[in-house]
Amino acid sequence: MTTPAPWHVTPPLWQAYAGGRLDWSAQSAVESHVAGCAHCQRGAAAYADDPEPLWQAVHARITTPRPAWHLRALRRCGVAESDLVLVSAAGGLRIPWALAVSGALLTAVIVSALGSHQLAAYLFLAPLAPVLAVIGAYHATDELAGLVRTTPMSPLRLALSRAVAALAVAIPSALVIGALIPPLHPMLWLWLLPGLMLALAALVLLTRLSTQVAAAAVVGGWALVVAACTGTGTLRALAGVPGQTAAVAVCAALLVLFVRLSTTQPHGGPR
Amino acid sequence: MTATLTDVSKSYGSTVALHPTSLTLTGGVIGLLGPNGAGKTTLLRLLATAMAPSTGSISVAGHLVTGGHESRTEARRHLGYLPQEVTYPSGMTAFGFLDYLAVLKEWQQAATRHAEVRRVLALVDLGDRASAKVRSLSGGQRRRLAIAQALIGAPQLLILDEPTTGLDPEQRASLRGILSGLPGTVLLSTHQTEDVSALCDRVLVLDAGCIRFDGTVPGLLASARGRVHISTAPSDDALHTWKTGSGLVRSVGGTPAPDAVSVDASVEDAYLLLRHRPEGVPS
Repeated sequence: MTTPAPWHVTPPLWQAYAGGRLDWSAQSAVESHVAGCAHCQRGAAAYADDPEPLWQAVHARITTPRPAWHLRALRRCGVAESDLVLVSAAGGLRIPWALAVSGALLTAVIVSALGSHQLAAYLFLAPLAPVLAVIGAYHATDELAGLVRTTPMSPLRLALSRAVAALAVAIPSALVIGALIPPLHPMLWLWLLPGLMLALAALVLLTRLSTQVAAAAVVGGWALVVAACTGTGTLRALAGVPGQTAAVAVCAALLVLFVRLSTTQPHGGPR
Repeated sequence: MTATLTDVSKSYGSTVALHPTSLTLTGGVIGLLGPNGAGKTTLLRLLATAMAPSTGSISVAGHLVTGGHESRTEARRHLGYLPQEVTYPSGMTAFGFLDYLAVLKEWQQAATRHAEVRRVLALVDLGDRASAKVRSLSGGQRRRLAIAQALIGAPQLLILDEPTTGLDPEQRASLRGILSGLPGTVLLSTHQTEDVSALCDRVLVLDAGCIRFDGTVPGLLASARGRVHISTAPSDDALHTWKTGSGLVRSVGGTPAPDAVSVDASVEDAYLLLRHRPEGVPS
């Protein structure tokens, strides 16, 4: 067994460290090494006439918490670092994610158990999973709502960041759950556009209404649409190309409306 | 930096929290005194843009808070606000909390934002608790963390709702040092009258939604001159009396006893006397 040769922080490594050009693992290695290496501590002093800025950089690195792995992965995928802070700060996102996954599971169980009216039940329930996620994410901001409202942050950006984060988990989860249950396979994709449409409708309503009222309006409105289509025998059309095309058009209109309402939000109104 | 309220009022249903009030705040530390329910928090929330007034207009640094979205957003860029209570999201660290608030305050660039977070953490003496979960901090540390978020970006108008609640005397003295060194305008509501006498250039006394006094600390003290006494017996009809450590009785207001000696009034004495002065009597 051989002992590895001792290593020390070289001037180029110091420069890269102080300049923030090292990745997290290299930074951690430098920090833990320097903390216990008198040679490198002397080397740091020799590296600069005034080592204070360097030590400040070391201190800054140590006192800046390292982002969680999934946030680092998202950063590598090009997501803006400040957006990651917005999303990760909403620790309450765990609740909308749980709501969405539970909603998808419940939908799968109910629809699988139904002998008839499977399509109607599926079309009513499945698009509500992303709605649960979006409404839950909006609600999750409440703990700091009093403070958030007094900052210059755009309510549009905040709401969209959280909605996207919530949907990023809710939609794949619902798809995976649907894919695992054979009776749902023929209907697997039918809920997606209506789901997005209802999520956007929820966002629009949340700019003016409380969480509970917005949720009730979306669920009630969608129930009426599905019931009317079932009653008039047009459920297949709702699930088919005409319904999906209409959902795309409504999505576009709701998105425009949401942007407009978010930027003209009444003073002190819900965010 | 100027903030102006013009005929601003706030009602909640049939309850008037703030009667029509006009005020101009221009620099220095301004203390806001008043009993619970006087309308202090309402006034601070209106200025902080947390809610809209029922009537009147508010401007901060020349930007109309009660105007459109754009001017309100611009006004918010000049504000720091400490609410009376801050509920922290679970699982957040001290650094994460401030980092989040800094992003909300439009500090987009990570390196400069993190430096600012460290600056305000050090300012409130929490530099070594950056990585600690907020739930593990003591009450005083949490309060200092809440103060730190208000200090992000060195706002020109700092609005603090009872900042010293939960702080020990040393921390309060430290906070005074921080606030007295700030360049802009600080409006702080407090029940600690000694904070007002130690810090404030100007005092506002709010009672039942009306401004009862607007002036300097010496002006407030002058209003109580000759009305606080020490004697062996309490003054007749005194507002408040209590036996001091020397065994003598200190009386605030009322008709002094024959052996009474007039003593210097404190801000608290002046405040108590002011609250019980009939409305309409000039301060």
